[in-house]
Amino acid sequence: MDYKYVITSSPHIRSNDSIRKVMFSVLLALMPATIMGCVFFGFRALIIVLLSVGSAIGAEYLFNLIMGREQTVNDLSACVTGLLIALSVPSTIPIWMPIIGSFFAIIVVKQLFGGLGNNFLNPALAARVFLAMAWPKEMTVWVKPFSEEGISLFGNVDISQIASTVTPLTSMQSLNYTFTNFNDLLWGNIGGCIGETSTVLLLIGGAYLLIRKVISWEIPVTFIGALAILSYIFPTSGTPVTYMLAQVLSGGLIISAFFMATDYSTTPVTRLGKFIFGLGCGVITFLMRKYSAYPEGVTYAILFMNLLTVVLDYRTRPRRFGKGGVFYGKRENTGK
Amino acid sequence: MALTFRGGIFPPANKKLTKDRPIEHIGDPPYVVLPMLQHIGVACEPVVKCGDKVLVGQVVGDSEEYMSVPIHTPVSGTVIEVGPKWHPNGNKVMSVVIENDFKDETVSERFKAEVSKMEPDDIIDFARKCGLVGMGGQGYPTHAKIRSAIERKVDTLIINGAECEPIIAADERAMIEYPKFIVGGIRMLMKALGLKTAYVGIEKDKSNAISTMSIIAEPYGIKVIPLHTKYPQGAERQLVFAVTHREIKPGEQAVDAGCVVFNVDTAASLYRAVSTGLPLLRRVITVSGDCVKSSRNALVPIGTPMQFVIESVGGLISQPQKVILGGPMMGTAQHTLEAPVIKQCSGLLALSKNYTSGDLHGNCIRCGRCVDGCPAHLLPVYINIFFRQDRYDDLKKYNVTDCIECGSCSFVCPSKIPLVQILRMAKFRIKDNEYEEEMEYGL
Repeated sequence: MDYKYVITSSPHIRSNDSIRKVMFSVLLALMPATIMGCVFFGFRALIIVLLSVGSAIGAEYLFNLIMGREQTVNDLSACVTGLLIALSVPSTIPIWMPIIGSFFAIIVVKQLFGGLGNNFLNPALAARVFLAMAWPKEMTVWVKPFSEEGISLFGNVDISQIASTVTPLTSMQSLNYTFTNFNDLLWGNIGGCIGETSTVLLLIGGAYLLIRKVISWEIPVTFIGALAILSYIFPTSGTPVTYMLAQVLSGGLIISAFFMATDYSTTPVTRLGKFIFGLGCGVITFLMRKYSAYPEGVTYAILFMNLLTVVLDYRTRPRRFGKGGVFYGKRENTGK
Repeated sequence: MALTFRGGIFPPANKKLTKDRPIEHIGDPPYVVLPMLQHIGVACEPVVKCGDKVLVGQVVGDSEEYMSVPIHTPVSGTVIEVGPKWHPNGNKVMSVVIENDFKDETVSERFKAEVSKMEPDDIIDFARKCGLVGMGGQGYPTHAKIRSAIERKVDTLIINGAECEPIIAADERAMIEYPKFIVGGIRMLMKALGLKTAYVGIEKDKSNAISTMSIIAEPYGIKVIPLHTKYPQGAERQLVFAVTHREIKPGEQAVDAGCVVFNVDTAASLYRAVSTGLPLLRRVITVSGDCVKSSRNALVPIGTPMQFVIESVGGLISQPQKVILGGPMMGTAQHTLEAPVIKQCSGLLALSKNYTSGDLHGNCIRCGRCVDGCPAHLLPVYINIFFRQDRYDDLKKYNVTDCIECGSCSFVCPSKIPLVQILRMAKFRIKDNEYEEEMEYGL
């Protein structure tokens, strides 16, 4: 018999999952919030989304080309990063800014550390911090939804010309904040970044990811739960319930808890590790929102917990099968 | 609430094609190849020469060693070759090739055994004489397993009818079609071990098998335990845990935890040997895959070349890219169809190109699916990294030697990283490393 057969190690069947499918699910889950963001913040928001995604893909393509690596654009991970950057910037920023953010995220944060899976910080969040530090003024100009008049597409935004507003989180830092419109908070008819305001649609996307088992429940639940419980116990203004609801429903919490803090590369792989990770994110977010100069602490909380990922994995290794408790690597005595 | 274990995966079962196919005899092959190694332990020596006439059931290979069982011929005819031939494990192994004369003459003296009069020692001797090995895939000599179970005073006898491998349905059909043989075998094993009860673990999607076995087995104190349908439910450690909630310690065997596990087909073969007086000559295998004309469950003489098995169930519809002896999760890929079906293989699959893709793998994205799926509580994510960096101490610290090579991690990996292969290589490396250390320091 001359015919040659393929020899491989078992198993001979594989799940039909792939990185591309995972990333596509994330993109799909982000779509409702993206569309809503474009409705709220207008044409300019759409342009920012497209530029951000496009430049993220471009950055990945160029980097692979220059370094002579295999093209990884097809796995859609650059699209996810680009979209997340667009969703976490205000719609008023100069349109060249998300491009810089995308290049920073893809090249500096992701590819320089070895590409997908090897980065230790969430690229989208790191880029957001980079932009916020480099251009703090532009990154904190918020407008109310449906108020894009007076904002030119090109050139800088003249803050004095537009109906700028404050985010609920900023106003909550002052003691006289009164919680008024619950519906607006829920649907996102408030000032904020392009994709972070419409809580309901983000929750729909998050639920989709949970059902498809793309993400597990630990991080979002403990993240939001920890923040909710802490703000219920220690409210700054208003009644505990309204303060808690305002804390949970505003700012970048929901998008971060479901889409940023669940990024595979930068979060623990064990269930217990994920649990602690989410808990840590919630606590740090609460502390930063309450005690720091920043109204929003989600970004820094996640980035800080990202750094603890390897330690969390190491300390929460599953109990060895056949051994009680965590096993710390003594040599096994196999003699009878 | 069906019993189960932590971890595990849910591969598509794909048993529709095979589970309703009755077991059928296939014709005897024109020649059989009988490798001298069809069990774990010491290989047999051929006891026949070229040109010898042999009868059905005659011993063609035997060994003085304890961890070994004799090998019998399932056909009568002439020995035409004694020499190294392809074995399903991919190597050439000393084998006896017998040309079939189709006279089907049986040895004159059959085994005479009466179940009621058999003492435990008789059953052990009988199991060895019949050439019985664990037919679930491991191939552990049955007599040695019973002996060690008696010596270790096990208190639980578990019969493995889980059959968690996708596509394969040989055990399921056996449980539906000849439950009496299985129960007879279980009762012999119970007698040998001095136990009053036994447990038959069956995955709950095999409802026919569960109901049939329950009716036959329950009067004898044998309990049928429905198990959660999950891979690898039939792996020894996972099965013992699901049934008894005992965890076998790392590096130990089931008998150390007071349990002993036999496959349903092993039990059936034991009883069949008693009732027919003939040794283990045939076994049930599932022939399937997307390249065979029709999927079958076939009773195949041991030693039948795979080429003949495939031809006799209707042949191929397209050229397979991959041929697997065993199940799709743990079976061995074959490079030639000349190799024979041996005692411990339960399936023969001819798979097309669709099953060979995915060998190019991407970066690990740390999704953690391998961690959730690992029934041995390992972190394949990190073992992958440590292996590539030659960090042996870390590999040991992360208990890579506990890996049962079930393939769950490779199955679920979205990047198609061959994780189980990496874990297997890591185990080998650790062994090599320890050996070198011993040589160097005389430990």
